[in-house]
Amino acid sequence: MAKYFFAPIEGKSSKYHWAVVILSLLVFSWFIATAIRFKLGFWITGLNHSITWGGSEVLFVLFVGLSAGSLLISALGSIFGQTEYKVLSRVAALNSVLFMSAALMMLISSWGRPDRILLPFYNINPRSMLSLNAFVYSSYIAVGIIYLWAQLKNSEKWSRVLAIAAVCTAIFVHSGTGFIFGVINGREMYFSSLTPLAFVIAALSSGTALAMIILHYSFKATHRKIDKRFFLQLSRVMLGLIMFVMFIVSIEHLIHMYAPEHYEGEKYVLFSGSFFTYVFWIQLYLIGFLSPIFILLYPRTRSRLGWILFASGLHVFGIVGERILFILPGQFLHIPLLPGYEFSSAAYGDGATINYFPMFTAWVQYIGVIAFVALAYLLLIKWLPLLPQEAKLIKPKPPEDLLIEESGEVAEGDTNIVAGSAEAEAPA
Amino acid sequence: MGNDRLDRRTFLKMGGLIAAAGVTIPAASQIFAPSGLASSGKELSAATDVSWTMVADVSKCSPDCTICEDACADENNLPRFPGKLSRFDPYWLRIIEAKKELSGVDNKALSLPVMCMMCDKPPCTHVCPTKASFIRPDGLVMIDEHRCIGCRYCVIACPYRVRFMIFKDTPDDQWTNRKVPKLMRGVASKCTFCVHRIDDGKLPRCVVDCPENALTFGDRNDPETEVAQLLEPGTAQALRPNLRVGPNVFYLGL
Repeated sequence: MAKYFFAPIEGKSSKYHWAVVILSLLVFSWFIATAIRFKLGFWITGLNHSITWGGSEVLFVLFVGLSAGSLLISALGSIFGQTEYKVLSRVAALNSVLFMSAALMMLISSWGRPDRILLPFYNINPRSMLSLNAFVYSSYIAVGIIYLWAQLKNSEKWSRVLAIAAVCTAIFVHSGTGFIFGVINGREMYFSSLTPLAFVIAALSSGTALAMIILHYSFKATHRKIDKRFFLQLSRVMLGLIMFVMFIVSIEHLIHMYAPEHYEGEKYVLFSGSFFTYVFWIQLYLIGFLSPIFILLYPRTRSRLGWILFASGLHVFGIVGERILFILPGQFLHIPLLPGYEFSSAAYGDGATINYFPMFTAWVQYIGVIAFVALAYLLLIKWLPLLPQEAKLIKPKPPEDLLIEESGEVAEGDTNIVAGSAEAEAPA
Repeated sequence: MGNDRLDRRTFLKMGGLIAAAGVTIPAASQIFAPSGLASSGKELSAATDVSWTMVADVSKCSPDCTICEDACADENNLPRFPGKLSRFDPYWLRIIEAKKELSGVDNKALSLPVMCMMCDKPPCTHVCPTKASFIRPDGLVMIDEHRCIGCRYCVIACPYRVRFMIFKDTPDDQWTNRKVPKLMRGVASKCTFCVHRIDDGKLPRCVVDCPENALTFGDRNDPETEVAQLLEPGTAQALRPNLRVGPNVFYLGL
């Protein structure tokens, strides 16, 4: 079994303390903003009768997605045979739980009645994906916490079992989140069977991207060492995932353009010159897909850590755009109540231009939830031994039959398929 | 250090136990709970062999007439906020101006009263995570506002955009009809076909107040009713029939 030396960070610097204080204040502001929103009602959020799902829901799906990449990294070591990744498994599992918690914070604080948080557990509607997801989300967090506990206990057996359980739950979580939106058949922009798949893949790609950024800055800020080759390997995985998600997004839009009932929506997003057109072509395609793909393919940039992290940041930003496109355009598009007719109403804004911009209270909530993730992360890596003193990518010892007799070198590309455990000595 | 380890262990155990309990106890309680829709006494007593239907003859509707809209607001205590806040006014029934998109045909604007369609297969009840949206035995789609969590899933899922969030509390001076509860802030709401009046054997208020008799309401399962006779020729149209959600509001004169 691999032996790594995990140690809590010292957390004695003034920077750390200031960060904790500022983040605590932001989290407290979230609490106040949520209480005000609950007390006064939705009207102070920027939502209106046309746009009833807004920024909170965008961040909810973004956070659910971001938890996926961390879990992927965490599970690489336990169940996918990449034993050298066990060194990152604890901190990745922590991030996974934190992002999922943040997603639920965002979701529940956006409800009109967050005080009724337990109702979905008591009044289950088996036909509602949101109802089923109440169990899936809470199970995911529970499994994640127990998985983390098993790792802290150094229980190899339980870590493996729980990693499998966590990955299985994660598949339900991410496809289930896609289902919430994909099943809305009354609004053509939402209705798609590709949504759950697109959601899962985008979750993995953006989650991996953000996990790399967090890992890099965690090690750098605590003056610990992490092997650059982790990032090189993960960037290859991320590259494949980005290409896959771009493929799915592209075919979904192309197929929709062939269907008359979807065409209006596609035209609105892709070619109308609206806000969403810029989000789609610039934020998602140019910044989120093409730029990272170029950086990760171009020989002079693909092996440089700075460029890899930059590409990761670009992709996360692009996926924010993808989540915006996921939630908002379906509400901006007017519902065709009767084919062949144009509708308008004086009282209710049918047929009129729809505007939405989150108000101050909503922004405080968004920032507060992000601050919660950062604060919980900073406190927990100080409290628990989650970060390794040093993360080295140690290739597993190859079995005899993989060695090339003449040169004594290991065959290229074969090292990673060895399922044996890496014996990494604890650094002094 | 020893104390730290103990605290850490206790914390993790407690965290795990709480999380596990949070998932299993409610689930178990649901499994052993009596089945069926939670319902009020009225709901259980509602007849099951009726099919409440509204027919709107838009050829009788005058342009700029909002009497049904106002009657609905008055009957159901729908608030009307001043100034810019008026954009948060809920409209359980609203008048929509409809114009044919094709040029070269009679392009006269029609006025359509649009309210909850009381669908036979309502997407709103399918997606509601707490069963706050439910179907009464007499087919009326209702919202239990005490069970609604304000997630807005039903508002998004409604194919007719006739569900509304209550953005703001109704001022007390606008709570004029005490037979209808004041709207609850933060939950979904919609037209009920004036269920309180139906249960008292009365017609919905919009039907009663319409000066042109453009709205007709009744049980279409009963062939003697005016509604059944209006629907008999098969010329009435439903909105978005392609979705096959079974709307129970029909339009004549489109």
